[in-house]
Amino acid sequence: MHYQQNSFTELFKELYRRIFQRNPIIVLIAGLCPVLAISTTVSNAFSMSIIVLCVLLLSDVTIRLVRQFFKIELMYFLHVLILSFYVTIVDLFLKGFYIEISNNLGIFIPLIAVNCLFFEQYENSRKQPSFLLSLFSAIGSGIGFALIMIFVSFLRELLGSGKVFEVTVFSKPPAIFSLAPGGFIVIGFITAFIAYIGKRFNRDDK
Amino acid sequence: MNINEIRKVFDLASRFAIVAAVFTALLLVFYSVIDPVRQNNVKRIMERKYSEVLPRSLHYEEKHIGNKTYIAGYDKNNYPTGKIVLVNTSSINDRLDLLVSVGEENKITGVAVIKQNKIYDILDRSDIDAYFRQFTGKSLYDLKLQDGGNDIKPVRGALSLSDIYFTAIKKGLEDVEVINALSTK
Repeated sequence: MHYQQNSFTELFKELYRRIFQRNPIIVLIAGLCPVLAISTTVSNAFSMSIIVLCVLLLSDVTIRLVRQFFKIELMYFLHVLILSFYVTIVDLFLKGFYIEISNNLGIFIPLIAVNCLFFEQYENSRKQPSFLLSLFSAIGSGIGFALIMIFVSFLRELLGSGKVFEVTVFSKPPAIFSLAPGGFIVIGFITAFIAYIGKRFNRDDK
Repeated sequence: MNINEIRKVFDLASRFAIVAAVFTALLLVFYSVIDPVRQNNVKRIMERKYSEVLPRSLHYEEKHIGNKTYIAGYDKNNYPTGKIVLVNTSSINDRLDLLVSVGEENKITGVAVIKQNKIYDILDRSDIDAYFRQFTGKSLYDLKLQDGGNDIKPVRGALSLSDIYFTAIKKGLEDVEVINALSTK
């Protein structure tokens, strides 16, 4: 394992890059499955975000610890094994202690094991020689996922059910926002908006 | 493939197998710790559902008669208060598990959903609860009459789901009728 010295600036740059410039949902369009399915309520999105962040961190640290004993050919298999291990642990833990969350998130907890976000993070981590940079990259991905997930769910809950945190804001909401097409529409608008802002800033820089 | 290549493959496979075995062992340990808690949770949730649909009961007992299973409810003096049956209906892309309870006079005391397709989560919970409340006090005879009548209003914006619920509740009452017939024999 490489313990390369990194300055705080480097670490926070990586964190910023993963949250905004390489955001897994709106920039990389990776891991959309739970975002479309789970983001109907803010509480679901919050739970999913915590789970994704924990699994990202744990799998990244574990793969760093064990990868020195393996050759590159086996790393993908190992990554899937480690990911499945942590996802099963989280699934069992929720079934044991937070059954409501487990019921709400349902099949989307086991599906984390095959989420593109984790494979993208693995690829990023594989190329990254520094342990700390890789860790900050995983944290950034998790936070980037959580921010967009919670924002999307806030909009969908508000527009789809007319409620926010069980408080009714308006009656007779358009139900489409609670369904997957509504998720696509909301994510599409956010992605377009962020892309527009990004382009505009880049143009200003030039 | 020469002996060195075989050795290399064997070496990789054995390393991977060792790591997989370690993770599996860890999972087994974790599972053995969590499983009793999980089973306790499931039991607690089911008991909460039982008390929702058969509120006069203080304790419940699972019983088997013929090929039917039901939950018998008892009050504080150990007198039977009613029966609860679990109805499972499934189609290609839908699944519904529903509890139907009847009192001693074979009229519905409550209905509760245990599991259903997540798509129905978009419906207003209060609309579904209001729909189920219409069944309270109804017997199988009343529901058979309902086939041609309209005194049970469907869930707002969910006609086909209301139909699935109605059929499941009727099936539950038919199961109770079979259980009653078997227990009088």
